[in-house]
Amino acid sequence: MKRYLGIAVVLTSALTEGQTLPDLEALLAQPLQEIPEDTEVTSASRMAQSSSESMAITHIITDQDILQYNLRSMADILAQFSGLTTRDDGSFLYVGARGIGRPSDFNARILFLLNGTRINENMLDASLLGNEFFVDVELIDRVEYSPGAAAALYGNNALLGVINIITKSSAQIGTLEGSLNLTHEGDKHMRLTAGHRSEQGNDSWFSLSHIGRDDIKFGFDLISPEDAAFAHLNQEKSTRVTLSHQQGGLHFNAAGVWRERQYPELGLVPDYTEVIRDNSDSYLLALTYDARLTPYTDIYLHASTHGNDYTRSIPVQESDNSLDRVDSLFSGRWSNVDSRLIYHGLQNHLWLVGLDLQQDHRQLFDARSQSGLLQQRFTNNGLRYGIYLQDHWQVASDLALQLALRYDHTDRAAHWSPSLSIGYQINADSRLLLRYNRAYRAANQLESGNNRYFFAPRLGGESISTSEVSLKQRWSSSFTSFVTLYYSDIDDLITEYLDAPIFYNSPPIKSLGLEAGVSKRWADGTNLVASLAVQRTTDEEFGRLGNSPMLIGQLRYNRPIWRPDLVFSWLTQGISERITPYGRQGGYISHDLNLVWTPNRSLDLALGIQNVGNKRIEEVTDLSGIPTLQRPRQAHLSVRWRWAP
Amino acid sequence: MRLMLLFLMLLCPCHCLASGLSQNQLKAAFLYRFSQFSTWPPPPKQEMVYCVVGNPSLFNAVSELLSTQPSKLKSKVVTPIDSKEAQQCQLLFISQQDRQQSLYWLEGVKDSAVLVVADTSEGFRQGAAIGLIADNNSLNFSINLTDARARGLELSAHLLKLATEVR
Repeated sequence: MKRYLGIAVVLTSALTEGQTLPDLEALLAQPLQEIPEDTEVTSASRMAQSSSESMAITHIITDQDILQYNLRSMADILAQFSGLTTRDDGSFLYVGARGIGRPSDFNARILFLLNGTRINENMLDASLLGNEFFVDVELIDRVEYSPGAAAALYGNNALLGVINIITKSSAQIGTLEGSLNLTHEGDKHMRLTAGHRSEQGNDSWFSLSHIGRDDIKFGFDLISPEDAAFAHLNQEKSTRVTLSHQQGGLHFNAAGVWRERQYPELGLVPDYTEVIRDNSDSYLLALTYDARLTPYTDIYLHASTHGNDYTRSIPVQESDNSLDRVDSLFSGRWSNVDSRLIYHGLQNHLWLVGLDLQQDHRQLFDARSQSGLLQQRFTNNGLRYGIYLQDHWQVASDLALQLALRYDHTDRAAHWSPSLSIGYQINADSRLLLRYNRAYRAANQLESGNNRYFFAPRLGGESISTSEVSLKQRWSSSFTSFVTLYYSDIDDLITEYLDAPIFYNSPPIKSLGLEAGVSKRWADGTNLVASLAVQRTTDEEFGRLGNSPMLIGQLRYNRPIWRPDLVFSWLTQGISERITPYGRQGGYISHDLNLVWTPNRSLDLALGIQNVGNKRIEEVTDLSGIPTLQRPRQAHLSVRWRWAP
Repeated sequence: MRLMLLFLMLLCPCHCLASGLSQNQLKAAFLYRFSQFSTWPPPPKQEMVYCVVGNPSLFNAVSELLSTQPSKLKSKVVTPIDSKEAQQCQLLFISQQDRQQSLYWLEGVKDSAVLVVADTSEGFRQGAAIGLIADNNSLNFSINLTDARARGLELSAHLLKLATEVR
């Protein structure tokens, strides 16, 4: 949709001469000179609203950002958001926010939504964001990130923020679209998508993609150079199928992803051909109905069913030198039903009332050795529900108040999550937001199951109280800024012991931080977005919390060069030193450079280099304490072809 | 250092992209195109009346655009004083209006064959047939076909094909 830059430029010139009006396709492709005052956001208030009405700051990455900055994975996208950090151990992508992102966290403290459907799974509350994610990033229309606690609307998991990933429609995809992404290390990503928009406006698309990675370089320093010969056993392949159909207010989504990962665990067993296998199979089916019932009432109904099976098979050498294997399975099946009513019939009030249900059909963990020496199994199922109410009260033309309260019930506990927001329009260009939120997360099935199995104390849920103040400032039509100062008290953070697979509720943690950013746009098509997050998260035991950098800086810049359809982009990320229980990880600044050429409506070509300076970046992602190399220098080429008669 | 030099070089002014349209000029162009791809119920109109509320700059942009576009039909742009006057419009753009203001205009023309376009999410959700809403980088439009048809309006298949969403 937004990829006709060259054509748009030609037509722009024509229009300014006052003679020829661009056609609709060209108008849709026209980049905005100004930074719009109002965009649509959905994640902050759990309904579509203008950003100027929203009581929270929401950051957005659009499909055009994904194209122009050549963002090729969810990790690339998430790394653009202020205050977010990502770490990849080769099997799992970990996301940290607001100072919380410790080894062995599985993204359970951020709520992830796909077109409004909750996608945190039901065993670890984990969000699967690597190659086991449901959607290819080229099919994403936009990603919204609302930082801060939001449990008053969303319940469990919305401690540190909500991220909603919204997919495209066939109008943005075309009748047929194919893409091929290659890296100099031989990684391949192929996709074919077919779309159809009927004359009645019904919209359907289907997509199939495959990712293959062979001879993956080991993410750590080899003890013996000869070990490099086993890189051919370090492999990954992933297949995704995605389907979308929209008809009026009805929207059906289906997605499935099958991922196989294997790698030799050097040093674990003498025979390196006995590899570790990590497989993940996930699916979701979701149906939503979103419509206006009366001039004053909107209704939203949603039902979805989900499944995720994660299996891991690890070779183990027994004391008698025989080889055994430990196979573990995390298997979850669950269904969600959400409903909400929006009523704006009362002068200056907007009411939102909703009910969420989650039925866990299966929460199974099973670990056993093939020899039968080890066996651990626990299973559960249950019903969770939450009821919430929100009133957005426009007290005066420049003052709005938003109150929300949610009650959640699970088989283990009940929680109340309140929220209070005040929005004050200081003047036409400045908006002040004050927010207080409480949020919680119940212990997930692994945490509570392990403690039960090993007779460790029962875990309570963790909770967070966050107070924050934000200022959005519009300095000119092409220059904006935001700044947020927050303070959080975190109680009973669920933490894994370093030396045993059991968990405890940690002593109180305090988190203080500042997030700030600027956006600037020039008339020649140049864009600059820069953000800085300063955070300090400390607990009474260790001082600074593990993997919590004090500074996170991000910068993205793009501009057309030489010709209007050729766009250069520059991405920079800087992270300060992190302290982990195993030592210090040095800070770094890395740069990615890209060139994107869109010669016509049907073709995009992108060439890029990740981590141009080949800066050595290491992160500790799990309790083994072994640092994993992140994002080494990599050249990549992407071709996207589109047919839209 | 080399990276910094490259960066500075790329910061130099680029004249390859001529100055484009302002957001309001773009909205005006969309509005004009929407009118071309829409059909009003009979009797045939003698004059095409574009109405703009809430945004004087958009009013000026529509006015300028209409003066440059050849048309078989006489056309003009007005700012209605109230919702009753808005019933005389063929096309009503409610721009930068909050929820209460949008509802006022939509209620006022609910039984009229007026193609209502809104540039806020609230306006579109409350009953505008077309939502012309910006994302960070460009303008996109969504269509509420049920609302359009309830007013006796027909929107062309081309419009339906290009809309981000048709409800």
